[in-house]
Amino acid sequence: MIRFKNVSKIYPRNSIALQDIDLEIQQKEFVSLVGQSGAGKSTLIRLLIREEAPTKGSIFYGDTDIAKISHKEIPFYRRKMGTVFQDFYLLPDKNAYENVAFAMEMSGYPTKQIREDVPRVLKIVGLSDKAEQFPDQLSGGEKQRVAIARSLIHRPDILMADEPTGNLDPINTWDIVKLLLKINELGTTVILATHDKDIVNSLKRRVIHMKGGRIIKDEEVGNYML
Amino acid sequence: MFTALTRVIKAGVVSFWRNMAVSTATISVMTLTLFLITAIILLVFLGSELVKELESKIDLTVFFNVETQDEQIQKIKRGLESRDDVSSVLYVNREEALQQFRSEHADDTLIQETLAELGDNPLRAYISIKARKLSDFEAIGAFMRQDQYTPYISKILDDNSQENRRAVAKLQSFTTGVRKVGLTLGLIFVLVAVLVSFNTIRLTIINARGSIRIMRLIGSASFFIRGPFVVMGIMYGVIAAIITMAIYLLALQAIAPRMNDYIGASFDVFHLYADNGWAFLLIQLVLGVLLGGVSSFIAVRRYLNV
Repeated sequence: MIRFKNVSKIYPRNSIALQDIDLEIQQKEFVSLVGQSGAGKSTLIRLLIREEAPTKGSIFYGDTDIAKISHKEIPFYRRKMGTVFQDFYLLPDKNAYENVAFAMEMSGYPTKQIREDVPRVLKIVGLSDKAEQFPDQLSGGEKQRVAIARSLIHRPDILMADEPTGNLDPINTWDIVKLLLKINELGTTVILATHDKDIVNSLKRRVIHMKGGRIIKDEEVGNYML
Repeated sequence: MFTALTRVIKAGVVSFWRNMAVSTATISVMTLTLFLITAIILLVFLGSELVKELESKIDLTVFFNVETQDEQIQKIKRGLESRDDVSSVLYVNREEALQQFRSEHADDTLIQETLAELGDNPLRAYISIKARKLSDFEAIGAFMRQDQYTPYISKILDDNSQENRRAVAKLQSFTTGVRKVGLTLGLIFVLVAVLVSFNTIRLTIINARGSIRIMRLIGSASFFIRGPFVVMGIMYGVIAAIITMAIYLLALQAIAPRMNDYIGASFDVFHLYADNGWAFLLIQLVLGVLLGGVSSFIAVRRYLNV
């Protein structure tokens, strides 16, 4: 499904973020990307969502070389993948319902479909009763659920979560992890970038260890070893 | 497409209200620009109306000798009418001239009594010639002064034409001056308005950086991200045009009577503007939309890489 072929990302002044990455991720996999800050986890995700292009090598999504996707096609490509970040990235002046609906509105979905899909996806993340609440009235965990709901609205093939629990307390952290597992069970590939040892060890799924922009270990069922 | 456009317009309107402080400043500068451009157009328009009115008053009058026969005058008239530079020829025979004179001095008993005592009609027949262009009067005058006509003519009167021609020439040079100065000033103001509007949109884009990143990440089409900013720019122009129109209507209503007295023309300055109100509003709207739309489009292209 996703294939990195000899990918490197080098920023100006020879700052190497990723080096010689070869990686394959299959459909419906749950993959944890682990490593300390600066290991290259976020850069790898940025390349996948085509926020940036690799300096060297190719990244394939199916048969598509994503570095060669034209500017016009990028939004359509991004709708195939959901993204969740540590800082939630919610629009503060919109309530939970509107934040999710906005993603559909700005992608040109018809109003009727928006009215049907938004409550359904809010129900999946357990926020049906919080639809009218604004981000500043929600807890950290609830904000992250809204972000997840928003990322699911396009029915993505892949969900990429970059440190989604970084700003959450332990209870909310586990709620989000459970939600990601549920989404994975429903058939979505999940890529979780984290440095939370407890989460990774409890998942018993594939773990990719990164250090200094390189993959140093890739285990089918792994533990956090760094 | 209609739904998409509605959403973009809605997002633009919301963004406009949220950035009211900077929006107000931009609208003010744009209003000032449209006000100046309208003033220039109005002055040039007023000038050309005045020129038209003055031109309509200019004629060359040829008085014939008492002995000149009606047939001969008709022949001269036909000769004049066949000329390309003559727009109209009005022939007034001796009887009509007398009637005209009598009715003009109906209250003057002394004149009426003198005319009665004279018995015979002392007035001469005349033709009043209007030219197509002011410069044509020279050639028409020369035509009438030809040897073949001088035996029939008693007097050629072109004082009125010369005096008015000088006035029209002055007015025309004033209008040309207004157009030149106005064009320079107008261009400067257009540049300032574009820069201010451009900067406002730039600031709005910088303020909305977070939202723009979110929109990009959730797969918004670039039309949905860029569109609202262009809508904002267009709104500046539309609102500035409406304000300018309102200012002119109110201001002209108040000062038109004094302006009319000063100019002394037969038309009313307020009605001149109000009767052409749609045309003025259209010009202001097109200019406003161009100023706002183009500057925001440039800002979006420059600062919003989607």
